Amino acid sequence: MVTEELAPFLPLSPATLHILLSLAGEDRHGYGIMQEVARQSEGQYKLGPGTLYDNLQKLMNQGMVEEAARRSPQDDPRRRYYRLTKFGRGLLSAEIARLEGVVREARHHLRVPAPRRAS
Amino acid sequence: MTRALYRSLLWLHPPAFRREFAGEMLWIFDEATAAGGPLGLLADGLASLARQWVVRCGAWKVLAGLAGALLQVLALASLSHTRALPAGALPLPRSLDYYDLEFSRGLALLIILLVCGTGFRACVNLSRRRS
Repeated sequence: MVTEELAPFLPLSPATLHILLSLAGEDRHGYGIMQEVARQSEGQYKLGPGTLYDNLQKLMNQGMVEEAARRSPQDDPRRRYYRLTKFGRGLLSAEIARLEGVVREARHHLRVPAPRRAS
Repeated sequence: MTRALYRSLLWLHPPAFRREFAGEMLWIFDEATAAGGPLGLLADGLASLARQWVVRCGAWKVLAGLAGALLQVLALASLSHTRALPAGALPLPRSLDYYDLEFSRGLALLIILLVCGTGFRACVNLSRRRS
């Protein structure tokens, strides 16, 4: 059930969905997000840095993503890590549930009719 | 060369976005160009530049206002050239007198300036709020 809080953000754009999905498993830096998105989509959807940071800026302003602490002091200072917030995780779950419904409907309508038996 | 070009593209982004993400974007450029060609990244940088100024900063409102005002000026200018009427034709109504047209043109120019000024102030305010 989609709450009133989440409803205005659904459905998610492909870029937003992929970014949130890439952060669902672990905190990642920008380049890590780009690589994870390419991996998840088997190379079919590639995010450029411009698209990525435009979306990250929007997601951070909307409270779906926040900056995480650096993993080690030896990390490149230009490398910043991002993580999902509780709200972002809830939104991703709601979108996945919505997509599951779409897939269920599609399977139902596209089902090839079973061939009739010859009498 | 391509790195300098990409850096220039980043420098042209709105200040708030540049301060927040330019360092990381340049780092990704360095990492990604080692793995593949830089052309895709340059195209993405250009698209990002347009998106940041036009969509996120609201400059499209200024452009739309400017286009509207320009249309007004052009329409009025074309009207002013229709004054040479053939003999026997009815005279133009008083409302389309030469001085009225000039006044309208001046008014349209004033509107253009007002729209540009308001849009510019909105952009600057938005940029300050984000920073």
